[in-house]
Amino acid sequence: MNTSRESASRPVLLFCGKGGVGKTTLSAMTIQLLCGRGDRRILAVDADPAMGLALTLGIWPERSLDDVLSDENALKGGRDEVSAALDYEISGCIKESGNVSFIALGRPEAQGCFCAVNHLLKKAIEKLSLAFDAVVIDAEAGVEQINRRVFDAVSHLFVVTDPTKKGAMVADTILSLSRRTIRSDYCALIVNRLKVGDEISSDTAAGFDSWCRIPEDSGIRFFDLHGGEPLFLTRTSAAASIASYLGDLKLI
Amino acid sequence: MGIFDRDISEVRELLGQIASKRGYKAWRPGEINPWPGGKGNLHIPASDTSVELGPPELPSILMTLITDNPGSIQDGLVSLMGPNIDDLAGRKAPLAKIIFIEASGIAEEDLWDFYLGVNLARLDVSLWGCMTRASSGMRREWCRISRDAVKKGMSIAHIGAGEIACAKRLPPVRAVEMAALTGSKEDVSAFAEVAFRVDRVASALCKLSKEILHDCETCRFSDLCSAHPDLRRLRESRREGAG
Repeated sequence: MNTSRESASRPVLLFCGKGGVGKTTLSAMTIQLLCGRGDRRILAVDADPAMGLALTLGIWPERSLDDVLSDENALKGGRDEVSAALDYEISGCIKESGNVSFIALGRPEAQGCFCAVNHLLKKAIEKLSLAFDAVVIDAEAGVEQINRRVFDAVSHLFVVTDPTKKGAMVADTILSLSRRTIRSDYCALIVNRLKVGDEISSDTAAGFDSWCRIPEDSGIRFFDLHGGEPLFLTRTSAAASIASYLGDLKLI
Repeated sequence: MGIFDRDISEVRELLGQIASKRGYKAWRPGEINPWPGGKGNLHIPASDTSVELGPPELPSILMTLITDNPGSIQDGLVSLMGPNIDDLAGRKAPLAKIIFIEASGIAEEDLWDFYLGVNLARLDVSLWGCMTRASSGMRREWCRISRDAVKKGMSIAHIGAGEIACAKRLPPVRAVEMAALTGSKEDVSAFAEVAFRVDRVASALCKLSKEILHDCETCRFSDLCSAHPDLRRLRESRREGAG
């Protein structure tokens, strides 16, 4: 006996880029758009300690991966015992809402590096992704998680930038790093928050398999200012642009 | 190897009390149809789940009890006190799962490795439409059964048969039996005290087996080792071995 979900190859979509370029909003939109096809089970991963995806989707997990590491009773014993308990703890971190299963890295309180929690995140994605039809990951801003190989293999790497030079530079750095650290089938640039008159040099998109432009959207600004139902995001003009692009990529 | 014999007696007594109050179902070898294997115990999302047993918000107890007392385990028997999976469709229920194992020829100093091995072997149980997750120290188990598996008639008997088959792959194992409770929180919680003691005994056994120097004065299991004849004997033999 088999289920289609166990055997299907599933898209794993990773959104990364400089802080403030709209990764989280685009991740949330993509999750909503993928859910639009009601039969798909989506794993949403908030890999950003800022936990903006939780806020945007309105899904708050009771327990994050960082909470697991902070709980001295959660992972005890030898290697095999810890490996077994890891499955229990990871499943316990998932907050489920309709077809979306949400898991968050959390906000590490302890001083020092994020290596342990990032390693747990990597394990969680590896262990869980097989059970879902699609995985959407909202990465931490910047290059740290890319550099540390937190995401081993993805089907689609979406590097998000705004029209600024700084954004383009970070996007270029992520592209270069990802070639060494991530196995991705497709790497795209998303230029977000474009205003009328903004010029984008074709050099910015060099090296990417494709690119798309998303216009600045007052609806998103309204959402960011006042909050609201996540479904609202899918009715914005920015959502129409990303939906069209994801459609071109046969993702929705 | 009577390390869990007192616990086995107590668990049997509790099971008997609950069975006499609420009744029980039992399946013997040959009465359980084979159930297809899964692909590595994958996560089952809530949207695909019909029945949840022992989720984190409900009581859950998992115990593995080992003995070398011949005939004390009814090999292949699966018993259930409480509703079966089909009666629980669309619901969550507490879970107690008790696995009795009869094994022979295990030296006292190998007992921890065997206990651990039996518990780790359980992780190989992979049944189609069933997700099982064991917490740290194997104290709790959380089980999700998919809608498809419920439709196809998955039963506690299939879960028990999977457990029994996995444990019996270990050479010293002669007999395996599983009892499950899925009824009220009170029924499951009735086993909490004995489960806590079993966990302490296992933890003490682990400490005695893994640590070279034993400072009993500061050890948190000192009271247990002094009161438990098997642990006391093992402690003495370790002390003699350490000179």
